[in-house]
Amino acid sequence: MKADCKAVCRGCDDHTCLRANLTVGQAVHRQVGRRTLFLVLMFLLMLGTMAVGLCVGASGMDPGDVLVSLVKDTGRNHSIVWMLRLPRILMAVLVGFGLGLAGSVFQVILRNPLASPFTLGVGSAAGFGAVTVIIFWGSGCHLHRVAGGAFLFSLLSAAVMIAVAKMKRASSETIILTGIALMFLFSALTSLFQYMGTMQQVYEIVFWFFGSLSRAGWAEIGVAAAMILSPLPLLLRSAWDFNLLAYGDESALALGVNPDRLRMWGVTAASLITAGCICFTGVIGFVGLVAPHITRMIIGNDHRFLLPGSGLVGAVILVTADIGGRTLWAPQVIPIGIVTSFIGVPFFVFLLMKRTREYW
Amino acid sequence: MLEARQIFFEYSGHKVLSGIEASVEKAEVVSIVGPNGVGKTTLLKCIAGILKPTRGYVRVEGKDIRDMARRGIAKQLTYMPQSLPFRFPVTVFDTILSGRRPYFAWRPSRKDLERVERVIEEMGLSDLAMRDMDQLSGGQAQKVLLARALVQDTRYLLLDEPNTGLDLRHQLELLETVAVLAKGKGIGVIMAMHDLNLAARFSDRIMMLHQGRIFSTGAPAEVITADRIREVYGVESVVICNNGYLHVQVLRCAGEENRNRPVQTRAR
Repeated sequence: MKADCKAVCRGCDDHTCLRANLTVGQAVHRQVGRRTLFLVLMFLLMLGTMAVGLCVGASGMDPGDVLVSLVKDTGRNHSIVWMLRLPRILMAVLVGFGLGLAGSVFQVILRNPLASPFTLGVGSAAGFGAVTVIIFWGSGCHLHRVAGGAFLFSLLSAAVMIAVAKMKRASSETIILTGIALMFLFSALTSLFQYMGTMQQVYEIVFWFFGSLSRAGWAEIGVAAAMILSPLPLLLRSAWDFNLLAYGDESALALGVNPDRLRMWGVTAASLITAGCICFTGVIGFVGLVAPHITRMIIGNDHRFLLPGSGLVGAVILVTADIGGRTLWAPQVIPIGIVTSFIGVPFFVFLLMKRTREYW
Repeated sequence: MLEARQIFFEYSGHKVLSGIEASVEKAEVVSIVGPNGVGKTTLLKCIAGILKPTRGYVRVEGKDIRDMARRGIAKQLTYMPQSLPFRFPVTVFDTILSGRRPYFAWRPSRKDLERVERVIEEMGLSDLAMRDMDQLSGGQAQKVLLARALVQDTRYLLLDEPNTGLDLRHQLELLETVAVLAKGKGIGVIMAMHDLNLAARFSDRIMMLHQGRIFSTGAPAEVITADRIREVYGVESVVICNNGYLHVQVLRCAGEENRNRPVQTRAR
């Protein structure tokens, strides 16, 4: 039972490559070990980027100051760390984690590599919700109203998607096409409102669409955390059901999983997470599409590892992008949505070129 | 015994199956034959509980599968599809392991892993275990599908054209594996087949479907006759017994006397 190294290496990532002559059992054991290691490393990397993010900023504190301000009340520095930097970084971690997680859930339940919160209309619905509030409550209105509008509309679009799927059969094509149709509808409505709005309103709308991590305070972080993290245990528990869904509906049925039900609540959970992510921060779309792909390229398609992995990768990307946005053109802050795409797209294309496995 | 009684199935008003009776005992191999679109796959899916028949019921050991949980059914019946669609990279090992899913919730046990390893070894798939599914040839992929069906460890196997796309040797190997399994472990097998010769060779019983009904059922030699083949497939043929194996030699489409004449070799 020696695994043939040459055959295995033909299209390998280094995690599938068996240099030594291993038995199948050993090779599998090693693979599980690698996947676990990846999760641990990503978690450490996330903590690392968070630490860097804490130390970087316009006020010019050195890491020692930051450390002291974290634990002791040092006046101005203390409030900078606790009221500005920490909330911002926690928000970045949460939103990155949520978008990555939601993206990987959307991709597997719809069995489509192009699926993500933003290609499915949930994002543009949230945008429209925010725009509606800005237009009707006038400019300069409260953050919570805008967030509420964004949240309501993203749930609404998910509800429409689910209702249409329920009326027909909940096939992935139905959900995807409905999602894309909704995306166009909400984009058109947003454009209409921008066309009608005053200069000030249009300015605010454009600003909201850039995405920003600085709008949130501690209370908002609590709300976002509840929405993003509460579906996580259930999603992880269904990891193997997601694995089976990757082999098609019939195959899942024959192995004891109801694919329609799984898809229904998967879309609901992923939409809730998405809504939690974007209502306080605006459009930071790219992470949800890319993080699952990056993770899949590295550790494969086992959702027990892919779901948390995509979340961690998303968090790392977003924190890194935030650091970039605050330092590249300091003291100007480049909006996070823009930086994410600037950093993410070249990196993603690089990975696409470099990957050895063809799978869609 | 796995039995399907009075199965009717309609697909948006179009009748596919009307009143099919099918059953398989332990250690028995039953083949369903019939032309394209006659409902072989539909029947298998009805029996597997993937499709709900409009009328009729399926029983395993006397128990109606409608009263069983999905997972309970998956511990009794294995359905092997013609192929699996792959969108994302999955290794051969993970694919086969997914067949054990009815037995574990989150983490496969030592026993599950060992079962998978043993089947991989028995079927000679060790070299491929860590490869991605999309790197396999058609024959290899089909073997993986069968391995996945085997690790599910159920008393009944439903195979949908298990030898599609395989060359001669792989067809024989695969069907022999199935036959040995049926006789050796007392597993009941129902399979949809296109190749009448192989169906006759490896089955205890054959069910021939025609226009959504059972046209004939019984031992291979009783069912596969030139008359029935003409009626069901619209093909003129001769059925020969050679070396103890039934052999269908296809002549021409029925009602087209002059076309497709055999090539005459000219005497010099």
